[in-house]
Amino acid sequence: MLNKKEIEDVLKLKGDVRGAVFKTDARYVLEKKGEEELKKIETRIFKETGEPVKYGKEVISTNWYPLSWRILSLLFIKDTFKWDDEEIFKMGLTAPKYSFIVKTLLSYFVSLEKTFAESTKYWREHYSTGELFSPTIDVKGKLLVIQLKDFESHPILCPYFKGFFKSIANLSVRTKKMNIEEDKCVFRGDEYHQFVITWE
Amino acid sequence: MKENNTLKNHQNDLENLERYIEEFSIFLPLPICTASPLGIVIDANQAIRDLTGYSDSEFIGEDIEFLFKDKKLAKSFFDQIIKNGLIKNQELILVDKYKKDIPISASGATRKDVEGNIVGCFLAISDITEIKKFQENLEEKVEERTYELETAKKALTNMLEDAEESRKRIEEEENKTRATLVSLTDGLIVFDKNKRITLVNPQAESVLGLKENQVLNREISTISEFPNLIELYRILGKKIEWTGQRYELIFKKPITRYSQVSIAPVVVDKETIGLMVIMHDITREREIERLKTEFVSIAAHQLRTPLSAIKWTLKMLIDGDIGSLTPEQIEFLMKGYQSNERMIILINDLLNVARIEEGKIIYDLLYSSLEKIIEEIIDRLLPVAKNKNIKLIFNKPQKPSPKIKIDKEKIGIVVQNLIDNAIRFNEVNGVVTVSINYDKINIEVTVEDDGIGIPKEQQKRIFSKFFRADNALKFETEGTGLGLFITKNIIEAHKGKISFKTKKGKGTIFKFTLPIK
Repeated sequence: MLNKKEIEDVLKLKGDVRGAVFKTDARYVLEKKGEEELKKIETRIFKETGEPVKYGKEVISTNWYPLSWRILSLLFIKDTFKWDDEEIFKMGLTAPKYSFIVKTLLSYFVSLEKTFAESTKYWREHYSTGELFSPTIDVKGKLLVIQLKDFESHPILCPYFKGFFKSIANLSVRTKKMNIEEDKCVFRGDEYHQFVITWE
Repeated sequence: MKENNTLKNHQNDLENLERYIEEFSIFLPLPICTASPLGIVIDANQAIRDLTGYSDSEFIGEDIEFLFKDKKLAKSFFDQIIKNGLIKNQELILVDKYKKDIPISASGATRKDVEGNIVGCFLAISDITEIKKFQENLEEKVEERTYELETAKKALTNMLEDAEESRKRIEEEENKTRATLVSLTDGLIVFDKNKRITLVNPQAESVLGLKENQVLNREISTISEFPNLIELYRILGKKIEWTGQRYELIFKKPITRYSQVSIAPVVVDKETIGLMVIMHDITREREIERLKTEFVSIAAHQLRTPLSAIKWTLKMLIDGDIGSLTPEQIEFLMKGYQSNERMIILINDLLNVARIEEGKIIYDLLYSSLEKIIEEIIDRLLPVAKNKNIKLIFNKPQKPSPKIKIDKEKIGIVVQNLIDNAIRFNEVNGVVTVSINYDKINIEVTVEDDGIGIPKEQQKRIFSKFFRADNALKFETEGTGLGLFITKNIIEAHKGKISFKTKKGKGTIFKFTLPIK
């Protein structure tokens, strides 16, 4: 069961997110658990929070929705299915693969440089709060550093973003082995989130 | 406000586009995916998910060659798309999630941005499993058919070789057979099933006075230009049939020649494929026989005169016409007389044999009574029968038998031989019965004894020249072995028949018939 206080804190968060995230969440749950379970999530969120989070056709990918809904979606999915952070990481990993917006906005993933040079723009198109940077894009050195600053959210997004950024990087680099670490995190006392991606 | 509206419109357009692409992706039956210029799968439609069994999460983000069995070929195919812009119908093997190989035909085309930069490529995949199966079946069938044809060809070649070999063998056999037939000293004419002449060997050519090619493939009945061949056909009864009979043929031209002719079937693999007429030249045998008979005849004639003189001289001495003799002298002379008599009988027999062989055994045919002849012979042999105490019975017919045209002297020899044998080869106190029967066609004379009989194994040779049965030799040492030979020949010269029934130790019945007319 989710902590009521935690839910209240989440609902207090400011900022919006594109509806695409609910579609990718829905697709993951549909694949793993089926439509009935997905409906149960909708019902449970509404019942326990009063928020009308939806996963169906009524969700518009390009519409803005509260960031809190996005976090509630992940929290309720995780709680309902007793998933761990690894599963949330996987949700992040698959999200870009399902997302029409991602594929459209990231200009065909022509190269890692181009993809992540556009990351700031992408972030702004996706989230109304926070800033995303890629201070290091070293293809030769096989190193990519992504920083997410001024983004007040919830720790559940950390594994999700880990998977998400890794997936984006994976779509831009031919490699069989890629690694991502969140070496800085505001929830661990850092000023910002920092994700370091390396590959072979 | 205006900007917000424009943004809203763009947003709607994007939404509509997403929906459109999603619906189109689900509907499109052709498996399609997009890849980045690096060859990483970016997107895939429902059909490709159905075909491969992979979900988007499993498939998107993988290298394009991940799907294919031959990674190098797949990478090369992708590179060619990037290089050339468009590649159509590249056959590849796709390996689905369940490791099943799926033959596909892939086509690819590059995607470009507004500036003309390559931003990725489309990849369309067609499942060609059915086509491949059909092709494989077709190839299998072609292969099978080719194999069958090759096998048939081999079999045909073998058959042809076998046939050629068989033909050679048959030819060889034919040549051998022909060589054998050609080198035969007997004349040979071979006829096929249709009675056409298929072979005349050189000996037959010589005997018949013709050349093989003049009569080859002709029916003998249609040949009229060769007299000896016509004679041969006549002797054979104007038919070419296997009867087992032997014929004697005398060719008069160019010189007199004798041939023994027989017909035998030509049998190959138990099937009669024709007949052959074999002409065995017996001219030399005939000549030797003639000379022998002539010699015997001359010798016998030459011997008969002095033997007669001796007979009468001895008779006069024994009868005391020249002066009285002592009983001892008479006994010696009697022995000489009897030996002389036996010599005369032998000479007479030899003369008769010579006449038989010359075909001159009968020449004085007159109507005579058989009963009288038999009575005379019985009278002559009564003393001999009495010596052995043998009862000699003559059963005459109630009505006298008709006179028939016969050589009286020769029939007398027949009757004499048969009754004499019946007495001589009978035990003391035996019985010899002579009977005459007749009908409208034949007169039948039977001479029956209860004597020693003729051994079964020797019955076949009883009418042969100089033959004497073993038991007869033991029983009676005297005898020339010519009597029954002469008897049979005389009867047959009168167109009569002679036969016998006998049982060793029980007796013998000789029976001859002579035609009345």
